Amino acid sequence: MNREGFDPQALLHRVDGNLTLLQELVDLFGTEVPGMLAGIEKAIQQCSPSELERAGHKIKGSMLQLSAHAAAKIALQLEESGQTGSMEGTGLLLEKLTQEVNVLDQKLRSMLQNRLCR
Amino acid sequence: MSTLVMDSRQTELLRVLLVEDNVMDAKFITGLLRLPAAALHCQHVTRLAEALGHLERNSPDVILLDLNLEDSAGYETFYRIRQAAFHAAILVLSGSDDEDLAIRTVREGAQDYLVKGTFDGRILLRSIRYAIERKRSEEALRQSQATVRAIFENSVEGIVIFDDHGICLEANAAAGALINLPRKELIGCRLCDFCEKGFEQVWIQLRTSESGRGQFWTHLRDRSRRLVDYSFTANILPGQHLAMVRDITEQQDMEEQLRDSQKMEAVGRLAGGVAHDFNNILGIISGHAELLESSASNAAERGRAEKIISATEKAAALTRQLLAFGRKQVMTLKLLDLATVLEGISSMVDCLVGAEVQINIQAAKNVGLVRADQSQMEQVIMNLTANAREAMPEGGTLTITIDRYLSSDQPELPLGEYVRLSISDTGAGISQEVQSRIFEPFFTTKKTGSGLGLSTVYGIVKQSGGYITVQSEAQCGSTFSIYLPVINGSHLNPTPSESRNRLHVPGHETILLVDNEEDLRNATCEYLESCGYRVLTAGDGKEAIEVCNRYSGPISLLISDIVMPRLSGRGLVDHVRKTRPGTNVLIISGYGADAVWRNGIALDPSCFLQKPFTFQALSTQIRAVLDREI
Repeated sequence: MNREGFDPQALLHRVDGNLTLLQELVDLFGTEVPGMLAGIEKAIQQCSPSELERAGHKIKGSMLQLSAHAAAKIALQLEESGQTGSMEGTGLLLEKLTQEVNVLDQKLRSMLQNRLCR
Repeated sequence: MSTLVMDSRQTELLRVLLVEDNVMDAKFITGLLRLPAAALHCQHVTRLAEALGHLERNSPDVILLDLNLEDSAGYETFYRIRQAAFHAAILVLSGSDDEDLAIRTVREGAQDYLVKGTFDGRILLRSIRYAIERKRSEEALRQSQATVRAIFENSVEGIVIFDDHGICLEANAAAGALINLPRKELIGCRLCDFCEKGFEQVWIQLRTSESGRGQFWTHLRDRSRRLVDYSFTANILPGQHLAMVRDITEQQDMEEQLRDSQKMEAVGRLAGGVAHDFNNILGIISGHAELLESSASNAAERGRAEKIISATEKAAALTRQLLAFGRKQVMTLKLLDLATVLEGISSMVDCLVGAEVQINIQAAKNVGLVRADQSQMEQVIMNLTANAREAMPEGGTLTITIDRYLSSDQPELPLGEYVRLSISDTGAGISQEVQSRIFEPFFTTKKTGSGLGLSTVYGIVKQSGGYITVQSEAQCGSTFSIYLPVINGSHLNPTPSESRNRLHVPGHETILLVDNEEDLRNATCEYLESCGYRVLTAGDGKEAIEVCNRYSGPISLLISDIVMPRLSGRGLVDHVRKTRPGTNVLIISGYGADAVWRNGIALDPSCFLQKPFTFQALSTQIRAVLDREI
């Protein structure tokens, strides 16, 4: 993931270097994001565009807050699929989003570790 | 619901409600709000229902609102929150960079719209503060507008906003009432359509000047016109001009009435002054005529003296009327025989109508007594006579009748017995339209009329418990009839009539006679001495005091004029009452009895005699004063 996919400097700037807040966000990422992904998967399985739109919108917001632009972009595509009622290709998008989220999780933890060690 | 309290050195603690269903986003936002510059008390809810419940109990300064919640989405969320929190600033925090939604929410009352991921703590805090300030400004503006609107709608003055062409853009109810139109109908009308000709030029001048004041006559749709006072301010907004308008028709009428009454008062004073001097002259003539009469050696001489006396009595009646005209009279109700009242002013009526008009009086005495003020009844007759004369500029006949009238329950005249006083002319008559308004104050058809004559008549008649009607036809003249209820079972106390055979009322006491009119003083002195009185005389108050001081014997009566040089009657009376408490006082004056109290002299009304008087009246009054039991 390059800087366009995730911008750690921007995130640090936005939390004003507050590592405690960053730690809380990373912890929440670990507990909340799997549920969000599960919500998208469920919407795809149940072929529910409205649920897909809602779940995609929700995770998009979180990704934007974390400066994770690539993940946010995929989440937006899922949201728009839900908006248009087109479920085609949504499974693949979910797969890509899951990968991005996993990488992001690692990046966040690594960034936090590095900062805490300084 | 979670709560986060953040403190700082800032004094104002802002109350924030965060409505966000995403736990991560909520954590992120509340984390950002922990910045040292923040002084916030932040409460977090995740659902719309929870937020609405919170708003029922709390009044946050700002609401950070995510639009997509579990129980509501999009604009609906914003609408519901705005309805529930009218006074709070709303800052929309959305994951959607949706320009249309952002504009719509801001237009509908949100103070800002931030997209998630685009702001840090400082931007968020600044946005919160800006949103609150914007909301407060909007609220202040709203309150100011509400105040202005309330003033606008409730102002008793008309307020109108015109465009450049004088078209009414906005007007309040008072402006509508001024020109007798509903407010809504006034909007869209052209100002100049309601104004007198030539106002177009005034309008152009007003528009090009910054402000102005003035008056104009406005024509209403019912063809009446009103005088309007206005103040004008051009360009309160580009192309919009403000006018404050006020109907001053009544005020102008009142001012005219005041001017008229001041004029009348001045005329009255002049008339009173003339009457006073004239009375003194008449007193001299009458006094000497009476002396001539008493010393006449034959019937022819006595007859000539009587003619002089009779002429002075007629002249005295005229001056009494002049005095009454100049006097402010209080209503004194008493039993009156209208025929006697009419007889008393018949000479004035003659003078008033002039030679071109014939007078026909049919006034039977003893048709019944009425309860009214004599002066007012005289005024009624004079006003109606004056109107009748003006209705006959080419001459004609004025008929005054007094008779008894039995009403059989007519609509305008309840059942009962009345004394009817009718005054008819043979003039041009009065139209039905004018008849319907003829008793209204200030209504006049004359160029120089005050419009008060008939309204005064109407007021007097009503005050006296009576009724007034008018009958008129074109070219057949007019008849005003006044109906005053008959007071049954009453009779007038006969006033002692002066006999031509003069009675000599003798006396023996000492009288101090003070009058600056030497001829009158001498004649009176001669008469009193002929009656047996010892008479001391003085030409003014000061001389009278000297006489008092020199004379060691008792002075039973002081007869004094009021207005005199050096020392007035009041000063003299005060001195005599102090130094000679046993001395009675009889005031004589060319002015009316009201002059006594106007000059500050405390006196029983029976101790006043108005000039010119007959010597018999004087001697009778002297005895009444001297013989009364104190």
